[in-house]
Amino acid sequence: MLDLLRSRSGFVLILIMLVVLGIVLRFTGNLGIVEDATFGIFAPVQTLLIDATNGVTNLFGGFRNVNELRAQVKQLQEQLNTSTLDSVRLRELESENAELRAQLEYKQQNPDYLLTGATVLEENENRARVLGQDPSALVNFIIIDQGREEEVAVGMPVITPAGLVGRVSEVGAHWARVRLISDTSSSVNAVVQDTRATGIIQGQGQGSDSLIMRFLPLGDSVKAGDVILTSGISGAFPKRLVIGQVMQVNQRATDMFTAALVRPSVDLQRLEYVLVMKKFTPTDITTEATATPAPTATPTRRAPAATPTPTQ
Amino acid sequence: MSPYLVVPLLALVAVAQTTLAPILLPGPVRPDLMLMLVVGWGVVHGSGQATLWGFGGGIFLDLFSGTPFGLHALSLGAIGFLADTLQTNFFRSNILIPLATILVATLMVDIGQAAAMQTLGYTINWAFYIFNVVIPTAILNTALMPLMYWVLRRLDRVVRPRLTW
Repeated sequence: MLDLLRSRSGFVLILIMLVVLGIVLRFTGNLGIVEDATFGIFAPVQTLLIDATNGVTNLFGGFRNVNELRAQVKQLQEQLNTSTLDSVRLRELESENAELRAQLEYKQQNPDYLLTGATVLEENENRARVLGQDPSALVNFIIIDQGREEEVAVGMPVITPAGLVGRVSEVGAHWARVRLISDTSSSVNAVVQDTRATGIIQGQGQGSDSLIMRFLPLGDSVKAGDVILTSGISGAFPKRLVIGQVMQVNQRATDMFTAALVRPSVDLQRLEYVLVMKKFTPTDITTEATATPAPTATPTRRAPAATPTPTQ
Repeated sequence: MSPYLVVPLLALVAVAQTTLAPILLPGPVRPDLMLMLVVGWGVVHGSGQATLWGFGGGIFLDLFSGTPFGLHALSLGAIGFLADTLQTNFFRSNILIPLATILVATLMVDIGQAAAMQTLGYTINWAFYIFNVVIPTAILNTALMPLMYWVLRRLDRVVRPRLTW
């Protein structure tokens, strides 16, 4: 046995067995202990390397005025982000105001229905640091330095002040893996802010910066420059998170739906810090489907009664 | 080379690939340091060690990756084996050997991994992936290989007299 361990072929055999064991453990969801140990050891090294790299980058980037310019650009970018978000929020508030007016009118017209209020979401105040990106260009994941011990759970949305980043897909003791919205297996229910047309945002993966919004209704449902927000349908993400802006609309006469290329509002290639929305609980659709249907009276935008009517 | 040195080295390269490379080169086209290390060591040193380095380094990358476990370990192990085989059949002093090897190895690994992922149900936009990721990465790896080759040849000179396995 010892001879086998000492020989090269024996060692290769052991490594192959380790790989097979790893495959089985990940498949059964028990690889977490190994990953916890790995990230426990390497997270401080990664943090140190990131700090050192940033320091060296700044040193070589070097002259003082260049750094000042960088700071100014950063500040202006933050101002632009804030203004964009304010603009989005303002328009959303206008839209919400109109909807609430319609709902109020609906409630007054239907006094027998029991209507419920809205949900308020809170963001995690502790920023999570991005420790690394996936070594493969085939998938789009990041690893952050907050995990189970910090009450991060699978399914929690991850954002930056500029917009949606992705969703927690795997959690360890002090780390979590986040599937970015640019990953091919990511789907987000979305809405065009101006027209309220709904569709699904999917990642294109393999290093593509843009997202694609599919299943938009034909017609003038979307145009270049439109802002895309999360719709909140399916319960995986909260409503009204900024996803991005439409770059190009693809619509052919033979298509049943319109598709649009969307530029994410967040630079997903240069993430340093992100926020995890801890208090948002994703809805399990499978549970919903089997639950006893409640007498829902909450109107949606497509319901005739919820259509905003001129009240002035 | 002692496993007590190889394991930290492979871990460090995996950390550098997932942490430093994205900061220095944001975007999908980044040098595949582990692949360069495995191919380079296979060409420089041979003796079957690149196969071990490929498997070992691949396991570290698999731990850092969201891809199915084993994707990196198996592909890098196979490439390490090929690099070992090349070393026994060619003169390692010829610089063109590592350059040609890393070019072909990058194409093989990236396309092989994409094919495996597609088999597992992932969507691959082949034209985009090949022209925007695979080919630029292969060129970048080839351009950086002389540096890696130089480092590995120096390392080889240091460790060769004290070979254990």
